[in-house]
Amino acid sequence: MSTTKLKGKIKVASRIVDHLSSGLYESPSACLKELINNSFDADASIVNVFVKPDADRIIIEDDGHGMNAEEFEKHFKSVSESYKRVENEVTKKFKRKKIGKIGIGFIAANEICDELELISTKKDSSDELNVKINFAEIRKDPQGRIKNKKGELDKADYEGEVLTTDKEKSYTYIFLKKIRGDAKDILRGVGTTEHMSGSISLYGKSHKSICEILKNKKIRSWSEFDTYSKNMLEIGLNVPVRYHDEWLPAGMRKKVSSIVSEVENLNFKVFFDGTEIRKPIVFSPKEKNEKSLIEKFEFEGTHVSANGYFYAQDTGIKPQELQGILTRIRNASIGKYDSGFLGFSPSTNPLLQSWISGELYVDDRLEDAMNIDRKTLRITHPSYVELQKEIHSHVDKLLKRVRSDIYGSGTKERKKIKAEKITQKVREITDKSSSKIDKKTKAIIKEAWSIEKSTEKNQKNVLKKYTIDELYEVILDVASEVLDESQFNIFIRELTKRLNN
Amino acid sequence: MSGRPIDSAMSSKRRPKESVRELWLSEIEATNKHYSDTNYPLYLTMPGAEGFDIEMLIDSGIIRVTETESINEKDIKKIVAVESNNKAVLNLQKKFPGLRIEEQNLQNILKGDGLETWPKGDEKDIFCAHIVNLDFDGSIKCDKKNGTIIFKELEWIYKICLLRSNVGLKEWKLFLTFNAGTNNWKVEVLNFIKNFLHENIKDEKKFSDECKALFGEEMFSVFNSENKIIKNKFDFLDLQKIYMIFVPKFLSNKLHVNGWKLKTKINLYYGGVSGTAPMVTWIIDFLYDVEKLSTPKKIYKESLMSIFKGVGYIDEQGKLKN
Repeated sequence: MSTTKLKGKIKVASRIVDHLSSGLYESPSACLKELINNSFDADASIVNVFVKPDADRIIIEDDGHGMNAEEFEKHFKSVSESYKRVENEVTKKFKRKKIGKIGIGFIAANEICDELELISTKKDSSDELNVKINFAEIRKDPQGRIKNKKGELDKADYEGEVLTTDKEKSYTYIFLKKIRGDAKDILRGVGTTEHMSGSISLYGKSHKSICEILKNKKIRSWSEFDTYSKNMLEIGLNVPVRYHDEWLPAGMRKKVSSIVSEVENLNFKVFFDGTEIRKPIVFSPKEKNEKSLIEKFEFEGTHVSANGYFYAQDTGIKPQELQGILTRIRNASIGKYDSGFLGFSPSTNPLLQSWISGELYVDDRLEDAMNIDRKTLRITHPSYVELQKEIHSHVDKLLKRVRSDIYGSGTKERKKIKAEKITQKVREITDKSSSKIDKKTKAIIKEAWSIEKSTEKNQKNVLKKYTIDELYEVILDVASEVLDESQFNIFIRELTKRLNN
Repeated sequence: MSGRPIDSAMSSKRRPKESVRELWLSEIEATNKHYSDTNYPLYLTMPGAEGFDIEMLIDSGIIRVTETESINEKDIKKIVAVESNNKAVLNLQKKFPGLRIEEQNLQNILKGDGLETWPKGDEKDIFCAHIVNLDFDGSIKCDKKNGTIIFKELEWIYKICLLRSNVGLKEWKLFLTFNAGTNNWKVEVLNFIKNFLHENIKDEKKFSDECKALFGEEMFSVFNSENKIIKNKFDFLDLQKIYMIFVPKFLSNKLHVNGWKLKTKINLYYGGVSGTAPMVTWIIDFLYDVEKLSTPKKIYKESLMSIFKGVGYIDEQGKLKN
């Protein structure tokens, strides 16, 4: 067994430290997805993440190309600009476009844990790198941290050794230890307040079961999931995993099959405590008459190009997290869905805007507009401006189409269904009281509220809404004409009692 | 895997070890029938990287799994594994997603073998499991404290008993396994053990007869004699037999004054041939009876005599023999 030792300080450029110190990532899932995207960049085909039962520690395991001591030291000696991209634009094995730009993925872990242990080896090498990184340094006051001549700050200490292992395999195992309080509560599924975590859990579910759950229209928001599951969904949204098999209504899948195939060809799977994570994007109209449409989006501009799709659905996109537009660069999402469609006027068809969900796979030129947090874009960048213009024009046209094809016909359809339901109900009520209603009266009722005769005029009558005074007026009028005085008074008293209950 | 001896020992699906696991299973099944505890686990184990005993509990339905083979949320608290090696932890987690693993060695969780510091909270609770499986791949480690020989793993068991009686838990079951072949006991330790067994051989005929039957004439004469052992000449089988008597007697002796009675149900040796590790394994029921504290000698005697009831061995085909 080799005894090669390594020990040193991780140096991070000051501007990155400033971001990290102020909390670069909004949630534990955002930190975890950085590590998962590292695995993607390392040509891993399978990543296993282990969090349960209590998120005391988290393991991320991948079968990627691994890392040796030299690469580790080269990288962490100075985490700054463009290290990952200097060598290769695409990965060797799967020819994937690398997601990581400045290589802060490992350092991102400092936001959820105090200690990181890394075990890694490359194929055809018997050297196994074992390193422990201590993140305590980052949480010290910047004044207290050591600064070197380049103006870089000590980020963390590391020490490790090179041991021997099997030459046949390559892998990276990351152990996040001493998980910090709030992150731990969120990851284990209880949230940081008693109102934070919903009751639906995806733990232990197959991707097929998860797809069925996501099809359930009653789920209005991901907040209905416990925080453990919500993290799973957020990770699935960001990292380049495949789509669910039934993510769209069957008839629509062909239209976007090229997008689905491209993602599948990335050959990247992530498992969370044994559950395969897929993109949590599932659109499924529930009612048979609920209308939906899909449009492919393709744009080739001077400063940017993009392709993707727009999906719209009657009565709105649920859960609400899928409303808007999700931008992806190099297959990883930039933040979450933007329900404002890159700054589209909120007063233009506000209701119908919530009926649309789209994904955009944008080329690398937009990456220059991306801020270090990987969730926002600089809105003055030429690529952004050009894309924004195109999106706004597209959304404007789409909203018109949604209004005519879905909303308009949908409203008619809904009215018809509602009228049919009411006439059906009337028939049931009259059937129940059939012993007291004679044949002639029954026929009159049927004639008046006939489903078969649900013409627009009939529908209008059926759907007419009465206030109490209007109702009294009609009933009193009729009752006074057909009942004697005593029956009239008994009837009115009973009616009043019932309506007032 | 990591290539540790524990993992190769545990990963072998050898027939004798499978028989031991079957014995464990029947005990766990019996305990599980009445298990409805929401505070403490059913089973604490040191499963090695492969976790064959956990696999067995899943196969038997004692631990339920989800459609992705993760531990069912309802049974997550039922089982705790102790494993400190990173790679073994990963392997266990891959095989059994959702499994609770305490990632320290047993001694650390117990806060050492002394009685000055004690585990608290979750760490304390795991030692309140209804069944504790201490499946050691090595021999008992000896140390000397203030001139007294300490048998580390046995001190841990003693500590677990005290911890349990402190929280009012009155019974538990121990699965205990040692490898008698990695001992490098000094002559001083052997003489301590010899004298310790000699006390009872000298005074109690039944104990003496049982020891003689197990040890055979030649070895029995060493323990029956007042003479000191000069050199460690014991072979694997001898050491296995010494373990079989010494371990439960030591525990009975140490615990009877605290109100704990031991019932040794299984006391078996296996292996030690064709290059296999010479193992000794026990299933011991611990019963706490504070009322019997006034008659500690009675408790001790009853504990002692149970040692011989489950004596036997498992042959290489996995058959149990008396």
